[in-house]
Amino acid sequence: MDSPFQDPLRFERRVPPCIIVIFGANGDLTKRKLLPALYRLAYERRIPPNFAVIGNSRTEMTDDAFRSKMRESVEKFLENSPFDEGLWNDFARNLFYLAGDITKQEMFDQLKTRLGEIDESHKTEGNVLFYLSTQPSYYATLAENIGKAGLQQDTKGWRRLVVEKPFGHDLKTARELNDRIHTVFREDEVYRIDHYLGKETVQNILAFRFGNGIFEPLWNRRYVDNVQITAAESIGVEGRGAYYQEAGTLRDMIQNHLLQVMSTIAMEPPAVFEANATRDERAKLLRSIRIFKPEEVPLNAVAGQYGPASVGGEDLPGFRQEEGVDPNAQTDTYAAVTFHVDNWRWAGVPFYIRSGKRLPKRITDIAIRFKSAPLSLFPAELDDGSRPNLLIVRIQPEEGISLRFLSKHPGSGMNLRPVSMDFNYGSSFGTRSPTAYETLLVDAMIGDPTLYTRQDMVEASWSAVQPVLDDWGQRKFDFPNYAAGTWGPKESDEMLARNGHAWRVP
Amino acid sequence: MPTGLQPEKILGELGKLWTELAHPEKGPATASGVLRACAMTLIVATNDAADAEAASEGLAQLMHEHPSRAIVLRPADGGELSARVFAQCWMPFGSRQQICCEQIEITASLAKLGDVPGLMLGLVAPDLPVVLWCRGPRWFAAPHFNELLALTRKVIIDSATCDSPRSAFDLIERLGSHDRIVADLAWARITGWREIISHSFATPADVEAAAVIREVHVQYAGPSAPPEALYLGAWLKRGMPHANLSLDRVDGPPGIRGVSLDDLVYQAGEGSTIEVRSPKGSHAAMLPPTTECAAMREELSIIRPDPIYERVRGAARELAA
Repeated sequence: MDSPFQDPLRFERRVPPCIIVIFGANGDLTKRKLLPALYRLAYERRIPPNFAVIGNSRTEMTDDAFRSKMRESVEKFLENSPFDEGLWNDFARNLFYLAGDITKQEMFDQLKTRLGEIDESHKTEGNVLFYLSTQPSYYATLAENIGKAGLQQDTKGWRRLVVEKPFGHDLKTARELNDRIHTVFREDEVYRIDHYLGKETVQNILAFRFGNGIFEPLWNRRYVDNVQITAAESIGVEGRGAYYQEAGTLRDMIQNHLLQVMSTIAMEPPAVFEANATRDERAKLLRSIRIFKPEEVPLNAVAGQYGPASVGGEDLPGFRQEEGVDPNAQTDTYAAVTFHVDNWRWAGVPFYIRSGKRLPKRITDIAIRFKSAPLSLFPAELDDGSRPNLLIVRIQPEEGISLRFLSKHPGSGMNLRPVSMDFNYGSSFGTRSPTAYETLLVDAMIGDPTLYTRQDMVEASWSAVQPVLDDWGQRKFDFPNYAAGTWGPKESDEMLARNGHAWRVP
Repeated sequence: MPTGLQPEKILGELGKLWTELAHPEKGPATASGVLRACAMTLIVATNDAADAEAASEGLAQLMHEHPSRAIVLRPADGGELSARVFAQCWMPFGSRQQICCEQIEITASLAKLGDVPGLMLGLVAPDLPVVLWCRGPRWFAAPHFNELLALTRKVIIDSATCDSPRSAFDLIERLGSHDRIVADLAWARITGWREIISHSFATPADVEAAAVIREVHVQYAGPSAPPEALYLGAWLKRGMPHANLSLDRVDGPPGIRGVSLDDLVYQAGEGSTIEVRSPKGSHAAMLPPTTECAAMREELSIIRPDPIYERVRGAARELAA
């Protein structure tokens, strides 16, 4: 029945009554992202009054102490939004805290009692979203303990589980984690968060590709020469050295975020814009990535680690000099991989993906380089010699799309020079974009998994990088091999040069 | 076509303006140049010189979210048609490049208004929607104004500027009868109220319960029921067909001050807060800004028919009768 009270043209999507249980509520993610996102949703009237949050961690704390701690975080980390005292007081009344050890069953028995009380007082209709924001090693135990306490099901409402990355440490552990979670939750109740997919500009790739008729005919091996995906950070590990040396860039960025971005850029159009249809196409693309034989890995993957350097008068430490890092660490702070997609659309088109720390600037973009015109009418020395047509999808920091093409330079003679046609997301839609966590939290509460990764997608992306992980795990690298503030090791340039290509400078 | 003021001349001046902006030594641009942004043509028909100034200030804010080729129509007591062009530029936070939109200001007496539509035809940005923001009702009585209306996909008015809600609703009815989208800023100003009220009727069971509500009161402050109160009353009646609707005048700052639906009460509080009280308890909700600029932002983001508004405005007109 159409409600006479709804106005989808003007009203924002609103979440149903529910309780969010955050495990790891004393951690950075809760303070920096989750609570500011929830407060912002309340500010925009997207959260109903019958809504509550139960935070859990080991630290003993009263509800009031938790509220005041969360208030500090929200005031500090709220982006582009005002803080309203009255609204906060109202919002904070729905925040609760339960101290306890997530490995002990008694904690879950207490949680069950608390959930029952709050469901009764707040009329949350039995709906509960469990958010795992703890150390990844606890994910499976947490899910199992939720199951042992019988919290995974309710006679009247829904129960969902949100899992932060990393989903496993490799293919084997990802499968194990999935299997253990599935003993308690069905796949359609599991929401694996990859915040890159929640970014407005990554979602905009779908609009750009499938909302317009002019690009899709060019989006294939016949016209595309190569695709480059870059996710560069100018900062180092910033106090996360201990974590990072166990993870590395390939695991931390490429296996999840960048392969998801690649799947969005390269997937086939879904039959309908609906969660499973879209995820099916992403999964198909990921399964089409060629799995390297051991001897192919050195030709298609490059690991790097930054060394100390002076940049702009500032002395920057090398990775091995960072706090908490083993002085002989073999961790990749830079990774570049050439992926090949074995399907009819992309056969023969290399997808170059690179990511690294302490690169010259912070930027994430996708560059689609088109083939040259079939016949060169103009003498080669008159242009810059490179394939001129480049479509760049900028994800951060300045979201937008640029198309580069050649134009005649004014004057006598046919002097060609590249020019750029820009679409700037911020200038065309100056409105504040929701943060990725706002988008994804609403989706999880509404029950829309379109922007969440599914088990088969996770396993397919681990499969794609597993041969590289296996190879790098056996090798001893001569690190560091690039200086902080540069675009990575020379071997990365050589990898592209073997195909007659070069990294663009973003 | 007027002599001495041709579209080509104005477009030529615009071209020169962009060339200057693109050269840092000549314009205010940075070394990265400027980014030209345009998503529509926004024609703004103002009431007088002071109103044209106020409109320009509003446009400077609106452009950030809805970059446009803005054409401000400024009435004069007499004289020939004249035009000037300039750019609205701003540097987005953290950006290296200025974003600029173009603005054309045309000064015309009512006697010369007949020349304006022909001029506009050559000035609208190609292939983009044309929106007319009419800041006062006098334009609709001007000769040849219908020709200007014929260019537009959407017309935005503010019924609060009309003599009475009744005359405003009559005007809207007339404008809307030509397959054109018509919007009223008074409707946009109550979006926050409607959204907060809709939260109480989110489920089918809630909607069924609404149908048996008996008493609906919309409280407003001001000398007489403003268009906002009429719209809100008409919208509420759609979901509560058996209720008695009453528009009650109360003290306070002008505008909607509260709504009660039997024992469900929505009361404007301090600042932008609305207190929602029901037998189950109470909570606060934030009302979004209701400034002219905020209402315009909302309307400019909708360049297609708004079926709910179209249904409600007829009922509001009946209430005003």
